[in-house]
Amino acid sequence: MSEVINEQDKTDATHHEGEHDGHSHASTLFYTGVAIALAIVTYIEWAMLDWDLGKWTKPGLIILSVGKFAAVVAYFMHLKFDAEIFKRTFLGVLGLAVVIVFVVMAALGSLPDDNPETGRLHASIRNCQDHSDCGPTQRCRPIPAPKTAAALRKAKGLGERPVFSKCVEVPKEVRDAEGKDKPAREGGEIYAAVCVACHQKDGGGMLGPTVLGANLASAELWAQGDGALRNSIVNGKQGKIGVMPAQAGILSSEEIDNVLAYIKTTYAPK
Amino acid sequence: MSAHGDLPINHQTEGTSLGVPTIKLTWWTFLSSECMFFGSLLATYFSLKPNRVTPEPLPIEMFDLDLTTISTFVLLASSFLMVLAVNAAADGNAKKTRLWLLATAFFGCIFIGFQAYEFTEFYAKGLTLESGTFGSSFFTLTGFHGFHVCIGIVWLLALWVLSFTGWLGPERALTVEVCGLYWHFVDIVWIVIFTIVYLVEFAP
Ligand code: HEC
Repeated sequence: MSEVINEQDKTDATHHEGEHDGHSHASTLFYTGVAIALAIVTYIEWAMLDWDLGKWTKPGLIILSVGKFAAVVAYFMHLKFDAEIFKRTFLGVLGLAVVIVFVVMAALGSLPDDNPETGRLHASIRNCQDHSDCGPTQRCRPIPAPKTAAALRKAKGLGERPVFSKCVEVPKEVRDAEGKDKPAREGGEIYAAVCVACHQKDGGGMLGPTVLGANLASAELWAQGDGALRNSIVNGKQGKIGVMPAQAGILSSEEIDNVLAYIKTTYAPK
Repeated sequence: MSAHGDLPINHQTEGTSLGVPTIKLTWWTFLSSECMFFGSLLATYFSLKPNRVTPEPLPIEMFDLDLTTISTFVLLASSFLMVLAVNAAADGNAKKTRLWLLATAFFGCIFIGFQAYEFTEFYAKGLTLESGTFGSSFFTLTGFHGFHVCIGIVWLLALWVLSFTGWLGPERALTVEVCGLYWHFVDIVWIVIFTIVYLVEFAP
């Protein structure tokens, strides 16, 4: 307690001294120094995004801004030299405000960048998934990171951040050309879900005691013609190799077209 | 802080058992409550930001850091000019006080100009108050800050106008000082927003 009083006496003393001898000129110089320091720190904050500081960037930025904050409060707002009651009022409530900010954020479970799950979720919602998310004359396209922050381009490859995509207007010729591979793309998903167990990722089928699938890359197989193959998929087939289950009740006619388009573009010998 | 203590009659510092000007205590108390106000807006911004449920632009697609850094310099500079105004008022230099008050208000206007430009750009690119949680919380936070700057500009200009009527004499140094406290507060709020809303968004 006595310490506090002493300190206050001291500051009061220096304070009064300052008032009497041309304090405004000396202090103008001092304030100019503070202002220049603030400007330099702001410049550093802006520039340091390019310095490849990795995980130190965020703490660095926050430390610098706390420094700026403190300098303005202490010198520009004079709190350092002012009465104890102002310090207690302001710093006390400021501390409380900071605590409340963290409590609110913790309560809502989303401290900045603390939640990769919702982060991904929001990115996937924000990005278009495919053309069905876009207007009739638009297509879903990946978009590059913004040009304004060179740091972002450097620090975050597309692999690190979700690829951002959005709907853009696309001319008709391009849309038509793209429309052609749409069935194959959708068929790929069906293949991965239904057929891959027997026919395998590489389409080579599988020879084994229990599960068997035809080699979808064989020229012989494709020699039968698309119609015959489609028929085998719809109705199933019992042949030399084994049993191909009928897909009629499982996949819609369109889905069968799509999956056929997929295996054709992916596995059929060219 | 300044020479007003030496003045023979000063209704602004008189009559307080605390030994400090009551008006300053009022303003420090008000500014403390403003910490709570902006604190809750910031907490809301950070809580809502990761939970976007509607497709809307992302912060990194919107923010133009170069532009915002320049406007940050402008606001910092205005704070420095405010210091000069407060010092001039404490010295009883009416001419200089008037000049620096106007200069501070002018820099404040430039800052608001940047913000108006930024908001217009964002709206044109699809980020609006209704576009989603980012838009709502961003515009509420920075909009309220801009609103505070506007109030400050009006206050500064009012003092500037009153200075011509002779109302802003040396006995009103405290009035200028209190206006300065408010102006610097608006500056520190921006220091926080600039770093944790804008810059950190681009940090790895
Ligand atoms: C339970 C394992 C199994 C699954 C699942 C399966 N197949 Fe087959 N598939 C086979 C077998 C076994 C054959 C070979 C039949 C024969 O000729 O002996 C075959 C043959 C085929 C053939 C050649 C038919 C012909 O006429 O020669 C095609 C095309 C084919 N499958 C496509 C598909 C597609 C597309 C799917 C997914 C929708 C699929 N298969 C799912 C086991 C499977």
